[in-house]
Amino acid sequence: MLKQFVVFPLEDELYGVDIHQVMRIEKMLSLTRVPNAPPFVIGVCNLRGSVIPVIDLKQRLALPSNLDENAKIIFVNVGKQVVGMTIDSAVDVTSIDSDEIEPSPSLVTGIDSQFIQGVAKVSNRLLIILDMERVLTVDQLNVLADMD
Amino acid sequence: MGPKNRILIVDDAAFMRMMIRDILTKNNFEVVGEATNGEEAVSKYIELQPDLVTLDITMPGMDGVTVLKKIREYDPSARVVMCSAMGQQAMVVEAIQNGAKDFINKPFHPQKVVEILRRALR
Amino acid sequence: MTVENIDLNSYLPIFIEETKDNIQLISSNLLRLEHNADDVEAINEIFRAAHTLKGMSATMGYTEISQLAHQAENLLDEVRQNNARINSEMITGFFHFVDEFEAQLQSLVETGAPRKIAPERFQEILAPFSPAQAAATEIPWEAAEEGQCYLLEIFFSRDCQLPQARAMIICNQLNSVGKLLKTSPSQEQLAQLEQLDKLVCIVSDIRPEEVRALLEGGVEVDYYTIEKYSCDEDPETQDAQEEGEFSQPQAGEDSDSRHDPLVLRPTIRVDTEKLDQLLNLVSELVINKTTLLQATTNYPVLADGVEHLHRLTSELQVIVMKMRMIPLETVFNRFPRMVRDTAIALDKLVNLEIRGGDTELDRTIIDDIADPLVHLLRNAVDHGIESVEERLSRGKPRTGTIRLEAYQTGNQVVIEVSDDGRGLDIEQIRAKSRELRLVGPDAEASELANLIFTPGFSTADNVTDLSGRGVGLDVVKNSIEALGGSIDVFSRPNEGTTFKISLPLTLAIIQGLLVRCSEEIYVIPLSYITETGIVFPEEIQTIGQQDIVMLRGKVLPIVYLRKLLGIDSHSSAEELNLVVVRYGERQIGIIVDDLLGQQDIVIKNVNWGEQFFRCFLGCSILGDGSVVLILDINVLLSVTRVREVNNA
Repeated sequence: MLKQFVVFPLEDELYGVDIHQVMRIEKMLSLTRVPNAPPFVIGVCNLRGSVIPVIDLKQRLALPSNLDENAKIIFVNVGKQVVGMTIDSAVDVTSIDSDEIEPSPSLVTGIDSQFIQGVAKVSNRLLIILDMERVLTVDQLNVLADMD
Repeated sequence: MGPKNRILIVDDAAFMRMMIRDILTKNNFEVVGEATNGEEAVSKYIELQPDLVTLDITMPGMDGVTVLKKIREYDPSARVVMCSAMGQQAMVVEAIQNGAKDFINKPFHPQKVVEILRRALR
Repeated sequence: MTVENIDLNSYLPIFIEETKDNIQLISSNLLRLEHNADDVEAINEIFRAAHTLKGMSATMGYTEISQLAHQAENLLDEVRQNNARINSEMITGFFHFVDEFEAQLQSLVETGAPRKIAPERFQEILAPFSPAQAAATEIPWEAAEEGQCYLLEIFFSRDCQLPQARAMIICNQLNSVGKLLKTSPSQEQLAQLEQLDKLVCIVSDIRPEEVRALLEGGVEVDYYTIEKYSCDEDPETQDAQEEGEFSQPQAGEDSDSRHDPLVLRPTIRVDTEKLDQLLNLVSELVINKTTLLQATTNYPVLADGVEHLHRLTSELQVIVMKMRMIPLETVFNRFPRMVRDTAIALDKLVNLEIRGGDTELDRTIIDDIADPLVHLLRNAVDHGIESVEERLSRGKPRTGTIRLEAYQTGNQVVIEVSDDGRGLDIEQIRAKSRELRLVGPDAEASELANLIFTPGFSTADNVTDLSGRGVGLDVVKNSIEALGGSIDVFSRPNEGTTFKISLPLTLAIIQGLLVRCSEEIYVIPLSYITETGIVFPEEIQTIGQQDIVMLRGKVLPIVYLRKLLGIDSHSSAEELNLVVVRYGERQIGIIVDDLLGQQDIVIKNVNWGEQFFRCFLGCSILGDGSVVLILDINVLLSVTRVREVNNA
């Protein structure tokens, strides 16, 4: 069965998100900082009257972060939770047969394997399919511990 | 004459796609893409941003009404015309309630298809 | 208008033959009624014959006959609905119909076309009926409306496929170019209809050319008429009868007395985004007003003007809030069909009663209430209402009833979803909750009932496709609570279950003080604040490690908002703005960079990562579209360990 993914490059790799989880992609919006939140939570934005948190996907994946003016925000909807994630720029849509998706993330380096749902070859490049639920699941961090 | 209207055709049957494509290209529409199932329809819509989608109401997997909802969730101003056969009244009604611009009934009368699409594009 | 030519003549002989039969059927049953006015079967026979006539003549395109049959059908229906006895005047009236049918048939045989019915003739036919009954043949107009409305009658051609769907599309299109005030059949009915030959609409805010553009150039619409319609004219003086071939709808007696007449005022359609912009602008105006208020405190000559401005902006704010309210029926309207489909899928008989659709709620809440209600209604059909056999064996009516009712009490809107089904199985819940160690052995039934909102708590032994799968009632509860509402359940075995949802009338709105901290703006809820003021840096003393100021002879511990929010730099201002807040039994001063003013704050919640927003009650959007965070003073101060300072 063919599955569709929104594909974008981060650093040297291609990453993909299931198209059904993608609500919309916007240019960088003005963000309001959320004090005392971890660094990957870079703020909240006004998306058509709703307040949506925005995370820096590269920071979340422990990749070096360097947002520039080409950055876009990809809004994903996972289990009724809507979150924006900053990505570098270009976005594409591609279809992959589900048989071609390797479940084993062992050959991938660079990001934490818990975020990886699977990998596939797309025109001789490796596409890392992100497990959005994992990316958006954040442990109950003691975010206030370092105050005062 | 302004730029041609860009149409995405969604139908699981190759025959129907070919027929619609023929009708449309002969009548000065531009067919920018074809999709054979619901998932593909949604992603092609996002990718191609067509002016209008002709959408088969019954397809294996995701049905037309679900596809319609997904497309309109992504783009509330999306223009979608449903393609239905006899006996699908309930689904047609549901599609209209969910924002379908119009519907065309199989078997297609070319003139009628063109007329309905032109009207939906207004 | 071009219509594909089908040779109707080949059908004409059989049409004439069957029409004769049906006219005969009406006549003979009218005679039966004359002998026995209570003969229900006779009324039903006439009704059926009229209905057949209507359908056949519509198929042939003989609108005169089909409309006539339609009127007769409506009159009979009116009689049936009200259990009114047929009197001899009415029988005479129905015989007038028979006469006219025969005249039409004559005309058909002789000229090949039906004859026009003059308005006088029609009045003559209707004369024996009381005004209320006659009104039943017309669209029950409740409208009283100023401004230019148009009455639009659209007749669908016989080769129109799915005319009811076509009618819905026309309604959508009319609504996109103008305002559709009323249709007959109603838009809700359209979805349920099997056939349709005519749609009547009242539209306003539309140019006739736009209507023409919509309706012409298609083969589906046989013909249509459009004329000016003044909704506010006195029905007595309205001379509309002379205009058209058929009666004009009049603001006559409302034949359906269960509903209050709906008074429609002139309205315009506004993009909701514009409304949001307006709300944001008004909010900004309030901020500016407050700034002005502070700036002019030293100029008494301006006091009156500023005070007036203050009142005006407050009123403006109230009006804008009201503009955002829309009736619940916009959501309720889709439920009859959904319940019907669900019931059919589950092979159950269910009647959905809807009340209070005119109850208004803030648009944002309306948007989010549909899903939880769908869930509850599906649950009611699936788990609440029993199968027909089970209902009969319990001595209940075959058809189950689900009631959806909305009403306003005080500042809350209540929506109840109740069914007369089997009720919650309290013993099963008790067993399950013991298994999950949720309650003690002697928990009350009401306590147990509310456990069904616990995540993962499902006792449905038969998980169907329609409900009970995946998302449970905990999701419903969460959605309701996210809207600032609450949900309760009440149930009695074998009598049914009621879910009661209480929602705030408008969005959660609080009074807040906007403060600046470095380059950022935050909101402090007014409910925490006891006073605001100014302190000079030299007034600040340090006791132990705690900074304090003396306020009216008392020690006031102070904290710096910059520090609380992780901003390292210090303000170098010559005077510091102080916000004194209540924190438990104590008072604490918070130093902020600037006081920007006080305003109503619409709280918006973020639905992800709540642990990162612990210091905040929520967010709000200001007039310029920027997002501000609302400080949760209790949490913020609880983590800063403001040191106790001896007040002695």
